[in-house]
Amino acid sequence: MSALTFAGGIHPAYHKDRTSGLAVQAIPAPQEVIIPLSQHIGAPAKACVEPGAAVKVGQMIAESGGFVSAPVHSSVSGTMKAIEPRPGPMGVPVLCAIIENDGTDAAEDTAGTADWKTASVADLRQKIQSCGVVGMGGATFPTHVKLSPPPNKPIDTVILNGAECEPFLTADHRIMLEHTAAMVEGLQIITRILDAKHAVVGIEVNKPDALDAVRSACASTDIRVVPLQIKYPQGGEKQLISAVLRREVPSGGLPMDVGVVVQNAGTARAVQQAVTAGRPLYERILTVTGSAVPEPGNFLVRIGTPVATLLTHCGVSADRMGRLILGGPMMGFAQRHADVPVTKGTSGILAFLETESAILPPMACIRCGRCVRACPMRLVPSQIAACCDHRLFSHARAADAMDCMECGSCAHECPSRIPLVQKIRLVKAEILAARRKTA
Amino acid sequence: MTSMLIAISVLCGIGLAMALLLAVGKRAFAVEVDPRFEQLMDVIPGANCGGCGLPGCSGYASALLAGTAAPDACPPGGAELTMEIGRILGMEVTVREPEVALVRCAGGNSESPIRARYDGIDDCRAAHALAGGFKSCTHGCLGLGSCIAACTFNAIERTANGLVRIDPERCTGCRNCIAACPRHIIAMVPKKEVVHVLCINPDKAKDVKAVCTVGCTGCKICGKQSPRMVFDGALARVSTDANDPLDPSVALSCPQGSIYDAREYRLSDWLSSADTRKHFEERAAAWKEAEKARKAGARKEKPPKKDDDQPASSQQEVTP
Amino acid sequence: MNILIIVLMAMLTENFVLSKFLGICPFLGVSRRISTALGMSMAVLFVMLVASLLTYAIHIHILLPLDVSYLQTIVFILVIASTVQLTEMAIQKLSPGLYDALGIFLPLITTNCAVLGIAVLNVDRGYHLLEVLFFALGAAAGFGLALLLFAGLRETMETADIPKSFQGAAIALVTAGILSLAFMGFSGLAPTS
Repeated sequence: MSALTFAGGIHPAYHKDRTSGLAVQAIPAPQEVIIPLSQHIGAPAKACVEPGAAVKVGQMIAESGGFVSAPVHSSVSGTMKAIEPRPGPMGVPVLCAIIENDGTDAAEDTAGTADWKTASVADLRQKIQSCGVVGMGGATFPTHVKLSPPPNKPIDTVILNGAECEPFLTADHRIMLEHTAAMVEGLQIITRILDAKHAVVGIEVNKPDALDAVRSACASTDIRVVPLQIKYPQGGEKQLISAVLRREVPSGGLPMDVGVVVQNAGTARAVQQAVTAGRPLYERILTVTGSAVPEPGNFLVRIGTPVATLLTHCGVSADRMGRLILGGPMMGFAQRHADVPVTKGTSGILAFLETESAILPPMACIRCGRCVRACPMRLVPSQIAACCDHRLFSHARAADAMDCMECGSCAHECPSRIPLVQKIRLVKAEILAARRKTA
Repeated sequence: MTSMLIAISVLCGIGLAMALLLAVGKRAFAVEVDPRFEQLMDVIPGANCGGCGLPGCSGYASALLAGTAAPDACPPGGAELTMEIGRILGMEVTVREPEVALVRCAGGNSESPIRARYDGIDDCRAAHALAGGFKSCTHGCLGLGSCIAACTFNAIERTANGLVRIDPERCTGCRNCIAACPRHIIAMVPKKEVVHVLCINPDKAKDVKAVCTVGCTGCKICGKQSPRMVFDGALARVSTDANDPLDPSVALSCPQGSIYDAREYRLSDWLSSADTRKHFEERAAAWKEAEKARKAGARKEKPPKKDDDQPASSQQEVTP
Repeated sequence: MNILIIVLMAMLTENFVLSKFLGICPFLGVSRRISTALGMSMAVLFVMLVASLLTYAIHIHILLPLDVSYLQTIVFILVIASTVQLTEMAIQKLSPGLYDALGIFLPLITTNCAVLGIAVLNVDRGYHLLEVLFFALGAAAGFGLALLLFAGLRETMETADIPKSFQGAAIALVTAGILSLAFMGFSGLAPTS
């Protein structure tokens, strides 16, 4: 079976070799964790433990603030020191619980549902919700919401996203290799909850060992394992659906509109842990790499560990670091400093040398059309960006600017180094503002 | 001879027929057009700036005739236009006080340092959306010039200090820049007013001082000088309810230097010139000395009447 | 067959705006928005049809019998101007929206050379009634085509970074010139006479 793919996309330098062969290493819990109360898309969680109280590993410290929300659990045992605003990964201060680690790792008693094949679907969903599982690819959308599609939108296929198309990142790769059984079981649980007929795992062919491992783990099941071409953004929901099923998600729609739910490999593992062991999401696997990292690797990290601690662990000296990015290089967030915590959505920490992170001034558009060819959503990025320059936001809306998912393919390809994504993002914000004004 | 007559009669005949047709058409398709519309269009500036909130100048003229727009709604036209409109529409008009837009931030790069490198596009809205901007003060002017792009009258320019300033002479008060500023720094002020508080940071004194050296801390010292200095929480503002401009010495009482005295300084110098700042500080120091001496003298001369003149507590606050 | 050739020629090879350079005024003036261009094209279509038929009738029934066809131009201008005036009044009354969109450009077609041109060409080429009708139809369609193409280009140009000295009318004329060059390519379609 030849590898599948979607229309458009780019081939950035992947730089995955440094870490793809390194086994996941557990990092000891730090002296103090900073756990943001809003680590997901949706309503922030509400703190439910007073400062000064003792907490255990896995104890819920903040309950979800609505349906589209997720609870937050302590990742260490110790004392809740304070609940106060701290710098968050998005640059703005966010409310965080600061917990001092007593080093005992006393864990909260948890009970799983070993026999999930017969348990009620509502129970399983409840379990996933109470364990605070969110999408771990970076978008951090609460998983229980994704697993509760409206009744008029039946789901026939679940796709497990093993593409890991972002350069540098190898965390999902390691999960697929080292936690294959857990991940596959997680996928089966998700398939059962959604009552989907088919389950597919899509893996880019640059991870042949992962392909083999998942294939042999799925041999006795009816899960299909699909090799995907090496291309960015192969792991985008809509691109993955297009590659695997040849279905197109309508403009402004969601995957559930075409009967599909896409879940990340790490999320499947978190679901499995939540259901079978009742274990809340308080640690995650991530990649620390980049040219400024002498000892890169894949690590199992407690949520709330300061990024600075991890960088020190990997031998990064702050004065050599020119740029720090949380997430992948294409869609991640550049950071001002390393005093931000690891959250549920941190799939990687990238540190680059100053020489590698220089930003050159943009030049005029030469109408080469490379951005158009690269756009996986089949938009015309140069046109939308020009609308931004001339403040013609209604033109941009007519050019479907709202369909842009900010994958950065266009900006990566642009020979004139035009910051296309930034301009499109601005256009989108203006269109949304205009929409709010008229609404 | 005959051919000439024929030609003349043909032309006249056809001309007459057409004239008749037009005359009939004029009756049949008569449309009532208010002659005042043309008159209004002649006096309205015609810049189509949208300052009246209506689509273009003809939209404003139609709205005037329909009675849905006020005669003083055109900022570029000013008082003169208001009078003209009143004359054309035959109505009583009251001339509105002319207003200009003002950038209420004096914290340039030297006062409110840059906290993070910003490599993004030159647009305040983009920078503001990105984690609250690159400046220490999350309320201050980013100086990337979204307002400059919005201004149809070329009244706004960047200063060397990373701020923007609006030329009150060129500003027509159309308010386009107010909508363009993501931080809501720009506001309308009476054109004749000479004292302005150039800060909108509502935070507490400690937080303001941490991010800017010329931010308003809400110390209320200026409030002792004039009742027209009003306070929204920890932020001073010049109230607009009086007819006369405020006494500029209020600016001298500000320990932060966030109150600007338009009578004494040019705005561009105030925002970017170190000499101007020095001059202001010298004047402020001299003024404070004089104030102190005056108060001390007043206390010495008539000690028993002190409590009646002014409450003791306020005096102590003024001269700390 | 003859009729089809007349329509195609009027539309493409002999495009009034881009090959014969008639009616440049509305071509430059009303081409900022596709919607207004469409309205203008419709007005031109109507005026061309009416003017062609009227002038044809006058030529056949008045000028020729009285042997005063040398009065052609002045009579045609008179008739066309009056007709357009009438059209303007009618539009103002019946469709104020269209009137607002066309604004001052309706009087512009009053003495439009494209309209006079079609009247004179009809007579010069000795077309009969059906041919006159289709020539007018083709010419108006050609005018509309050129106007819409140009309006589309100008709308796209709004997002282009044009050097300051070229902004406005300058770049519009340059674009019109290039468009005209492109239309010259249709000359290969002309039947050998």
